Amino acid sequence: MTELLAQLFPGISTFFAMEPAVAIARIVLIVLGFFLAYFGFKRTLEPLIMVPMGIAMMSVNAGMLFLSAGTVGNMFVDPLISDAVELVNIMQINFLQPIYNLTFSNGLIACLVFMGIGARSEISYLLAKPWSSIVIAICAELGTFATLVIGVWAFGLAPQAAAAVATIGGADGPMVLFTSLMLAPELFVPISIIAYLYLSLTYGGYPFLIKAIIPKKYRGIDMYVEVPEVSQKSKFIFIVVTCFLLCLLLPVAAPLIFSFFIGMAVKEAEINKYTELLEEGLSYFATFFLGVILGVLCEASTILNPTVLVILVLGILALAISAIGGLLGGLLMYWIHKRRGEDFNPVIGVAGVSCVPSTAKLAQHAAMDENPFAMILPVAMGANISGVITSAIAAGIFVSTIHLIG
Amino acid sequence: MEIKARIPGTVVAVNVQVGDSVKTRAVLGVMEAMKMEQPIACPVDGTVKEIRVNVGDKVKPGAVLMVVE
Repeated sequence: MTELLAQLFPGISTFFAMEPAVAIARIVLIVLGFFLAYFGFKRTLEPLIMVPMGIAMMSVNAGMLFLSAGTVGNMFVDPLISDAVELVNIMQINFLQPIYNLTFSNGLIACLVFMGIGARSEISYLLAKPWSSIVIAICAELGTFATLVIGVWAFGLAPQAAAAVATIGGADGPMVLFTSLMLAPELFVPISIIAYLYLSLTYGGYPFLIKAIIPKKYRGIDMYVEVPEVSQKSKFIFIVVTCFLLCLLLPVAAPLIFSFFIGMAVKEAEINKYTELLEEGLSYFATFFLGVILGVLCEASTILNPTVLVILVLGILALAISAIGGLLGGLLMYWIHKRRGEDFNPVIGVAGVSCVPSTAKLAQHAAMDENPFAMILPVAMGANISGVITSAIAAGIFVSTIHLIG
Repeated sequence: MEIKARIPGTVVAVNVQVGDSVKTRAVLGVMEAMKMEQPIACPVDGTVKEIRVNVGDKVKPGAVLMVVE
């Protein structure tokens, strides 16, 4: 009788057939998945990623069954297959396997998301205060470089692995996916899950950092900036030339750079069908499956890897140090502008951490809390866009030079 | 004095009519950009001379929304 029930409900009976630690991890992940999806629904966490990711996490850990040869697994995806022939077989069984192999593990999904981000980005913000934006964006990479050093020296990670985790400090999900695939494919799954989880938490955490670092009287500073009237032609040429230069200098990051700039170029060229395709179609397709795949990869066995703990610590360090770097950059810009008798709101520093557009919106919210009429969004967006470019540069530097260390 | 849009966005509310007298920092209307609402502040004490936008209009930065004298 029990035998029959065990066969009828393998989802439940597999709990007893596993090692207790794995079984407990499964339960923890099911509960965690529920809360991620629920907080996405409540908008406490970023809903676009967290709703699909949370539900997928629950489902994959619930839907375990006995596979042939008595092993326990699931029908969603089996990312550990490396043999091509075996892969073709598995693609016909595991329903998300084609999405995983054909868009995820080659970085395509990151590029699709980036095309959408590009199509939503307005380059003229960057031109309003180009130097301040770039200086802030460079300061906001502090976490990326500091975490590389901390990871290697304090935690004894291989430079490749430390660099892959450190890119979380650039706060660009697609960039993290891409770099970890290139540098530490064995840690790619936990790094990308943790990166997206933390990026989603910046909504909650960064406002506290802003309040801790920027004195109250500076937070409400209003800024009158003229966003320069730049013709569409000059914007288009600027985008194309910058894309060319960055690809030339950083060939390893060229797919991501290309994706971001092609999105912007399509928008400036007013090819509206493409802008719609990238902004409304492809980027939502990619973001949805990104969430689903990340959730499905949260299997108990992946999470029990001891390196996960190190990544959890380093990831949050990277994001916190980057925000602190950005805010200090904001204060620096405040002093420089003050000497020239101009206004600059140091809160903009946080927007250098390039989570487009959420950190720019966080900066605007923080300013409006002190002064409802403050308008810093255009400058913050400029810092945001520069942040994407500096993170791409940082990722490019890591991928091309990391073999020189260690 | 011309009151200009500071960000590209949509006008979601106009709180005044032509002829109203307004004070500095009065909220003349509300704009929405990137899913955030932003009050349109009055920079001077005066009278609303012109309203050049309607609720629902999409405006570019620098576009004149209203004139206050």
